Amino acid sequence: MKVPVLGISAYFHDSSASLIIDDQIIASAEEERFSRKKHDNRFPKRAIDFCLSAGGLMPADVPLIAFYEKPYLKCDRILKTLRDGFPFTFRQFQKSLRSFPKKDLRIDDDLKRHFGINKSTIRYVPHHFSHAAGAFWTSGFKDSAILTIDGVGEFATATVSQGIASRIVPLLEMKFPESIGLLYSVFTAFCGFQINEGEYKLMGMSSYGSPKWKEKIYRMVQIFDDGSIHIDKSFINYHLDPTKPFTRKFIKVFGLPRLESTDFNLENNSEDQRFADIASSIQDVVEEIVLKMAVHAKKVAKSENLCLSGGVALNGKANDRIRREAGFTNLFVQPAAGDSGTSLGAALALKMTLEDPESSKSAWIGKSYNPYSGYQNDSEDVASFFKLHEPRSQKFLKYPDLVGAVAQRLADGQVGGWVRGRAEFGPRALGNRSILANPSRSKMKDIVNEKVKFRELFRPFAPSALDFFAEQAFEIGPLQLNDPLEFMLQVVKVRPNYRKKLAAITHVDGTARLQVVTRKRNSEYYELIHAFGKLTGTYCLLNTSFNLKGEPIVNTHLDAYKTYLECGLDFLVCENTMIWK
Amino acid sequence: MKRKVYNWLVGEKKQNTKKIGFKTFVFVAELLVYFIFVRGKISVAKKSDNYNIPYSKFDKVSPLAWQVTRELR
Repeated sequence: MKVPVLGISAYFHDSSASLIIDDQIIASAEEERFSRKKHDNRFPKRAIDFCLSAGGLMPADVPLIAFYEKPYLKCDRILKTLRDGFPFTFRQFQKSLRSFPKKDLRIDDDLKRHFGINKSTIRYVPHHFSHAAGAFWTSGFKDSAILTIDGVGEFATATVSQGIASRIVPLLEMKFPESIGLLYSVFTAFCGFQINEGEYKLMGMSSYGSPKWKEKIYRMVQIFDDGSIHIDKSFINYHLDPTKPFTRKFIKVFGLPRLESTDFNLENNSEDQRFADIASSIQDVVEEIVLKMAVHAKKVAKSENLCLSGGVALNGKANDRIRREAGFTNLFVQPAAGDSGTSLGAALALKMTLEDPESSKSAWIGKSYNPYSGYQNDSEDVASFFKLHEPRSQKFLKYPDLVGAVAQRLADGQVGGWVRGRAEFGPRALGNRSILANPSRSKMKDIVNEKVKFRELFRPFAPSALDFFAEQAFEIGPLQLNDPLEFMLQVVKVRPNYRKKLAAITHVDGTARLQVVTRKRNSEYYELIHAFGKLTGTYCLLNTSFNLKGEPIVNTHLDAYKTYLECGLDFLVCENTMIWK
Repeated sequence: MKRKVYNWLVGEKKQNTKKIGFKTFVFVAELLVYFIFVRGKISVAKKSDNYNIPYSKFDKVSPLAWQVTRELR
């Protein structure tokens, strides 16, 4: 049935909107890209505006709107948790009581106020169903086991379900406060990073340590054979008060926490080795849990395919272990696996309720997922803007000329910003909103970190490699449909003979969070890397998201230009125009 | 005096004394709601699975639980 469906995710973190028409994902975008506030959790007015204009629709033209969770159930869970924590939860109770009417329960008011949309058009989709739908119906699989793992939804923190063509059947769920996502977040806060922001930093830090603290973690977490867990609540406090995630007992066992502002330096600070070891230990434990869950999901859902979603699915190291050890033939990880992706999932879930649930056909089977569904700049606007504001700008009429010029600069060791086509949906820059550099130069990592990104020096950079080169340089197998490697969602080993050659992207443990670029997925980016490879023999680029520390990834040419002026980028390409310093 | 009581209760130093009376009232009301709300706490604690940990924390889910509905719940 041809009905436009708008999906919305809001009020927790990473608000977003998605629009589906006629079995096509027309647009998906995070609010932060427009509002320029990282992890923006407000009502996604700008993202909805963008989606509607991409679909050529007015608000009144959308008969169905899907919201990514059930707000009352979520409030119910929060209140029950606060009740259980009596009497130490009063402050949190006060905060929640005041925030419910302002945030969680006002989606219909906000839609009415901003777009004049009546609340009768809204449908509420359970949080983990949104995750599961977002993964399964974009995977291209006909049937699949679906595993969703995140901090918490309404009550569920992890679910196993079975996807068959046009329906998803929930099978198992683990409930709050037993949560793998929150467990990882507790250690994220302990190691001095922000919850819901620093989890991938913890994963990067884990490579510097050894898992010496695992036994102590096992004292606080009991892991069952099916991957479900029981956390000893005397160690954690996150479920009662997010501002104090761990207890005194936790500190007694693991020592004092790391201060957020301190630099991570293993040479001058022996304390940092302790944090690296703890990070390595919790990473190992989480991998073990997720792997057990995946194996159990295979058993109960009886499928050779696995779809993964939820914030924990962004853990590339765990994904690699699942792929190698869980025994599935195919794995799909939703590129926007965090809460931003739930707007797409909710829209898909609602859309599929209009289909026949018993049908063995679905329009989504065998489809290639396109993560480039965000905002696109108008190339004429960009050219005229830079002509006016930049004395050194050049508009290229032919794409090969642009690619040749950029490849030459990168081969010479320059660092450039690259903004072309539609923005990516999800936290990874996949070659349309990227900072690019030569991965062969050993000092390039420090140059990009210090002059351009201003971020922590220990964090690695990711490579984008062409398919044929990736097989030579990295320990990977053949690509499948919608392979996680195409979306930078799997950490793999760099082959030993390439580690020096790709020094800037090889992490301390010899791994890299690889993006394999195929001509079919992104032909323009493919051409660029190919031109660079022709000059250097390395068909691979250092690719990091185009943003500064603490800012969202750039969206428009104006955001890109502002970032370019504020950091040490040597040149910037927006659509067909290049400017340089 | 009002401000002292308020600061002691709420822990914030507010300069606007006119609102203190109202805010104290809201605070006491919230405290009351909280106490009424937590009445069931003891019975919940007794049922808590902390005392009886099973071999799995996975529960079976009814397909009805994943229905897309018009209601907020």
